[in-house]
Amino acid sequence: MENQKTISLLVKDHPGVMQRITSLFTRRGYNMESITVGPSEETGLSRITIITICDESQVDQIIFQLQKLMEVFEATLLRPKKTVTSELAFIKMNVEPNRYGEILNLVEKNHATVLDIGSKTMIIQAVGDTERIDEIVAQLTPYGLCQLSRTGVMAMEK
Amino acid sequence: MRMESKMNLFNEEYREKLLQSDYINGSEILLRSLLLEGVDCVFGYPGGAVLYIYDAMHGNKDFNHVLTRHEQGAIHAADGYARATGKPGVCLATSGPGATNLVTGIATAYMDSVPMIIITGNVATSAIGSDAFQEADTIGITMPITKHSYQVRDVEDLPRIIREAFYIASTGRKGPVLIDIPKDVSSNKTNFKYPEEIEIRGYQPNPQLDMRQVENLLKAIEEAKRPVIIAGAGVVHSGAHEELLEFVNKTQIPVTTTLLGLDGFPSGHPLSMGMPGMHGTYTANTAIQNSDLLISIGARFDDRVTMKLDGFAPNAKIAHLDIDRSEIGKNIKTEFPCLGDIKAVLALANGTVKPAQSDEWINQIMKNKQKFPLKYQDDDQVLKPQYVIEMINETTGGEAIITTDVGQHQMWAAQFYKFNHPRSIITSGGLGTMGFGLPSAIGAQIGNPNRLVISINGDGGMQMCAQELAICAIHNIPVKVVIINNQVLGMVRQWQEIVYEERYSHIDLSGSVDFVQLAKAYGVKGLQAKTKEEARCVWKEALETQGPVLIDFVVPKEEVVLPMVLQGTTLSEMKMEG
Repeated sequence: MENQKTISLLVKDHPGVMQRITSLFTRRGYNMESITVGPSEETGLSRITIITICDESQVDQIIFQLQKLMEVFEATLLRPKKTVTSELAFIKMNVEPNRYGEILNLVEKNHATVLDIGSKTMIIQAVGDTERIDEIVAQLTPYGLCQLSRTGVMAMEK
Repeated sequence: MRMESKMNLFNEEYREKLLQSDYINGSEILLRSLLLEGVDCVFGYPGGAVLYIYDAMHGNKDFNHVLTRHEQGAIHAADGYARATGKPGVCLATSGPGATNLVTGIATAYMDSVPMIIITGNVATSAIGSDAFQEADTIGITMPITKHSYQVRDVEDLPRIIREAFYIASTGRKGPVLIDIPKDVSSNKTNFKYPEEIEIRGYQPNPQLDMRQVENLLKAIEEAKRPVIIAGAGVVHSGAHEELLEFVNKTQIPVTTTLLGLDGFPSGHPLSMGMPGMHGTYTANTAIQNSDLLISIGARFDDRVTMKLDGFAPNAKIAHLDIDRSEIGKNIKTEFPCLGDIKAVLALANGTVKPAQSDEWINQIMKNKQKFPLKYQDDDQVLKPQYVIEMINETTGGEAIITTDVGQHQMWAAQFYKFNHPRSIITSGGLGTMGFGLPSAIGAQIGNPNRLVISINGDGGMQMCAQELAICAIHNIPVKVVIINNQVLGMVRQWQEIVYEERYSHIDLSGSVDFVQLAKAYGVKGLQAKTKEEARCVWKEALETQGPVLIDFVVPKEEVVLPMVLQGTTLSEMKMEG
């Protein structure tokens, strides 16, 4: 999306940090499409990726406000052309065994992976950028998609 | 009470004693740390979760604590102390309701960037999250209205957290910092060690000055023909009033001062135009609208200043000096950003700045000042509120510290009191908190025992924290408590008259209380005036009285604050007549 911006944060891994960040977005009426968090290369620090939809002037304001949070050590806007992004999706299918073959074909064609096969359900893992995941989900939906869980986007500048 | 500091921080022996590595509990650590930070007064109210802290105070002669009658009184008093002295104000309350009663005061301080340390008790760490008696998520509740907050989970962390909190509250863009101390942390013991130095990763309170930004600003000034300065609270927070005066004298740029910046520039200066905005002067608002270069110095383009943004200063390029990067460009597109501590930026600029080409512009402004001064319809038979403020101004020569509540009287105080010194107006500008006037005056007086402190209130706000009159009486805090009593919620009435076609809804306060008797009940001298003659007479008596006095000035309810710019219109559309 044109106005989609990716913000990368390096934060102190401390109770309440996520709340400070999400509270800032709520209070100031900023949009948050997704947020992912996990440990960074440094012990005690986490890296957070936020996807937001806003215009150029507002994204600067968001970054400046984030930088004011004491537990945010770095807040940077990632440049789209120099950034790789990816997300992970788990897709649970409710399918009759006689259609497994078709689904496995789709999985293979899309470079996805099957994590679990049960008597009536199947869990598929897909990795890729947002458009890729959207595409896989669209292809699988007609076969009886019953649960979808996506991590949200992770991003890193080259 | 003469709040003379009972300890002397310059007394090395005393400091050494405080720094001793004794095995003491969290409460004693707290008190010692506060003393080491130079705190000479804490405003507070005890309760279950802070009993260890109050126990540590018992018999501690070095530690000054003022017991207010409501936590809201405590936090506003700490705020008034901070605004009047520039030092962080310190406030202490218990968990749950004690903490939630502070919320309005914390938000008040946050909106106006006031350095404060707020200490709240909480239930023991083992009980947190169990909905224990008087438990509230104080950190969660106050997160959006504090600069930062800490919940202390281990007594070992307490000294560092206190040290950091003071540093954060009083550097960069200042603000309130909250420290939540669970009960077991205040009772657990450890060997006291106060950190000498602290380093907070990622926190850069004083941004490096960018020479190019300053040069661009100076060039823009040289080329400007109709420049205007809007000076705001940042000038006072940064202690930059002298640098601003020099800057104005060198550049010959007319100055308008926002509500919170009124005391940052001498109002008697020929280039002072008074306040801008909704109730600003004709001269200031007209100058902004006609200007070609508008320089904000520590003012944040608040909506009460700009009014309708689309149409604000339509011909001006905007320059903005601010220590907070996020303020620059937040509300208005800025051509000349200038990030840094205002005192430092102005000091640097003063070295090379050249005057603007503004002779013709200044002539025009001088003419406007003469032709359209602030005015009101005076009447020999009626005591007008503006007359009362003028009288207070004349009799104190602009030398008093004025605290206000919120509403019409606040605007009249801003218009008709002529401020000469920084830290002289103490008013809730951003949040507009009623009930602020009296307790903030108590804090201001305790911080400045030798200055005359006058608290100007309306009859509405006065009733929101009136219980603090007790503190004035008990400690003989000689605040002069003025009530501009028009028996209505005047500012609401004014809007209902002008915007809501005279449909006066729930604004009548008549018959609510006899303020003179109320003062007497608290042991404070109470006076009343209904005419100009009585006003002069009782005001003289009030000024001659050593202790606290309440003066009830009964005025008509029909007066409106003018000029007025209606919401949704631009500064060019001033309503000048009632």
